[in-house]
Amino acid sequence: MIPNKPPFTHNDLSDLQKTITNIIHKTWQDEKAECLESLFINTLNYTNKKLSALQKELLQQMEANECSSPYWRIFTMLVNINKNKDYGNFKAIIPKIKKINSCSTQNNFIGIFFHCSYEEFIKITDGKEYKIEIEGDKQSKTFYFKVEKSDAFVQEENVLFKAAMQYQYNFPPIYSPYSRRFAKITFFDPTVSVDTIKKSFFKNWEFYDAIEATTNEKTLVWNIWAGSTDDLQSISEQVEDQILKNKDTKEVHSIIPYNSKQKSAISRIIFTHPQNKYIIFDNPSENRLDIQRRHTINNKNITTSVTYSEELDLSHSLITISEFSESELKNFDLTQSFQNHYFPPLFTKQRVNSYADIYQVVSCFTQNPYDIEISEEIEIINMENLINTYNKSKVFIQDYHTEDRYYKYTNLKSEPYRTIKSVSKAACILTFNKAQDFKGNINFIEDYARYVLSYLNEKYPEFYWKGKKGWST
Amino acid sequence: MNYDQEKDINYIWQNYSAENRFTLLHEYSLKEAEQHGNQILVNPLVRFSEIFSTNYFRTSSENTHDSDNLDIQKTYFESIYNLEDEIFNLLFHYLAQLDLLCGHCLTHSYKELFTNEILEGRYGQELCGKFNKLDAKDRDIIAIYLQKYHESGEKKDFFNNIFFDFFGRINNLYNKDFDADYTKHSAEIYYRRSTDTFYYFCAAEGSEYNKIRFSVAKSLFADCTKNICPVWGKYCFGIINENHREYAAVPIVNQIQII
Repeated sequence: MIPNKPPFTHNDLSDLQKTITNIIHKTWQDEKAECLESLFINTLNYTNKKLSALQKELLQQMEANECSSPYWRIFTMLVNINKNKDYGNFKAIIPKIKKINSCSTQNNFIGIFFHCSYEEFIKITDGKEYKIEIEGDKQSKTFYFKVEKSDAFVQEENVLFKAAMQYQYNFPPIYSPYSRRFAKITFFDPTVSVDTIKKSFFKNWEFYDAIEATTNEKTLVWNIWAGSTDDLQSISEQVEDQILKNKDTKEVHSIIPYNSKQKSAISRIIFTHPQNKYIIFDNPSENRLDIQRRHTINNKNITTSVTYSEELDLSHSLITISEFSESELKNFDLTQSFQNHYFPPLFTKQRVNSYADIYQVVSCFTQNPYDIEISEEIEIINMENLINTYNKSKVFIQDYHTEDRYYKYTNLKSEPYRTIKSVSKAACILTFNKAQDFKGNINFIEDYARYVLSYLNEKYPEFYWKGKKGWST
Repeated sequence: MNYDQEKDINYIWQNYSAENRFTLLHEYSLKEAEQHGNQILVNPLVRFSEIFSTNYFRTSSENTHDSDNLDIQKTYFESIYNLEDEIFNLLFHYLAQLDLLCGHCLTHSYKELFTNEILEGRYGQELCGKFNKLDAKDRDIIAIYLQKYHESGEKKDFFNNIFFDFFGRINNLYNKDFDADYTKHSAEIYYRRSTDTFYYFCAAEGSEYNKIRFSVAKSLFADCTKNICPVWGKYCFGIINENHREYAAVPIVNQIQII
């Protein structure tokens, strides 16, 4: 029941206080009046304080109910190589670039970061062979090399997606365009010394302008550390007795993990660790693990417990998401840094139904630090019309190739995969624009669009989300 | 809701009027307040026991908070019974006023939060602008519906509910200028298969304000993949010369049949 406002105009507390004081002094005199006045002032202060505290508690409770998972601030940056490998709270990502075979001619390679558009990058890195001539002191020399796209950095992101899956992390985990502009250049001449090659080496190459740097000049860093859990204290518990007790009553015990056999022994491991650490459990079977993460009493640490069938051989590793201060970011070139920026609303939509719902889910991405705008003009098109429109004018932003997509990790055969539901009856077209004071790399606007659309397609499959360029190239 | 006629209250701030008289309830009650005409019987133990156990009423000099202490309880009851009727009445008017000024309820809090979401532009600047033009009552209705919509997980039928709340059925206040013969049909929703369109007959003038109201409700709650068309004007749907029919298959607007 929503209360009425009082019938006379007391718009604030001081107004009410004045009215009461006047009444007191008219009705009573001297000491009694003073005593009463003091009583009423103290009552006002007490009530106001109590009700304000209640409201604060109420709002905090509401916020906690609406949003249960914390936001992981994941940065990736392209930085100049530091000889001491000291990047502060950031760590260099070391990609595992596989050697093809033991033949030495195929193993003389370096990595190169490009900053061109994704389409151009795909054309360049199609496994083609190139040659360049470089003028030496006495004569010019010709170098032959092959350029191949490498998803080595993208593979490193697996650990983050695994953690997001295990801890039900509902926000976009990572935005990393440079991981998706990484190529391997293999020289056919085994005598070429690849350890000293820099961008300037390729100045006679037709695609020189598309190069950002080689791996001898720059490296990709992020604020995630992956390691072992040896340092963490753990307690193993056998909980077999509790199952035996319930055998007669046939009650399903609340701690028996999903899909496990009731008769087998159950174990539980408990770890205590700081808030920014996440334990990744390698579950070889397809069963969902019963992982619980709770704050400890002093609220500084987290207790992670996982309950599982004893027959499982459960291995685990640890990732740490480092926090850092804004002042530390000033040491880096911010035009080369990318964050999984997301501005969550208080009330998250479970699905998208109306136009306002669409605006609300898109609004989480509109206030981004990249000066990229998403237009308020949103089109809803039937799938049939979409196909026709696409065939006529290729204005849509194409998604990444499958291996580059921001996918959801799955446990099935430990291979990640991505699906887009084909039951969406309509497509929702967003238009991406650059703001007036846009300073970044224009080729990466589409990467940001792919980051946004990937998240929307995963979370809200009611629509097929597509993006359109709002600027002329 | 007509507050004046409601007698069953639970709190001192309900049905508040300056003419009410607060007196002490001398018997056990779980409720804070009971209304009998203009007199409101109050049980101050429900929420205000802390106020009355402060130093202002204590006869002993010790300052303890132990509620099992018999001395404290005795002092409390003495203090309550010893209060002059006038002071008691004044004090509870004061407390009721404070509740109304500073108090909060969950519904209010949710309403404020949802309203803020709209005003911050989370639902688009256009909707924010239109929302600002609505009056307080309509904004309240929208905020309450937003809360229910959110709790239901964005169910699809909320638009129809708010449409009928705004443009009403038999007790519609918005078409009081219309003839009773017309208003008995009141607001209706028709679906036309040939155009795959839902026609929402609003039984109201197509004024600027009504159009904004419909537009805000549609943007917030209606399925965006459906074709929705509002129909304004006081002539309801019907088939020409078919008086016995209450609902028509073919919509008519301003006595022109839509083909």
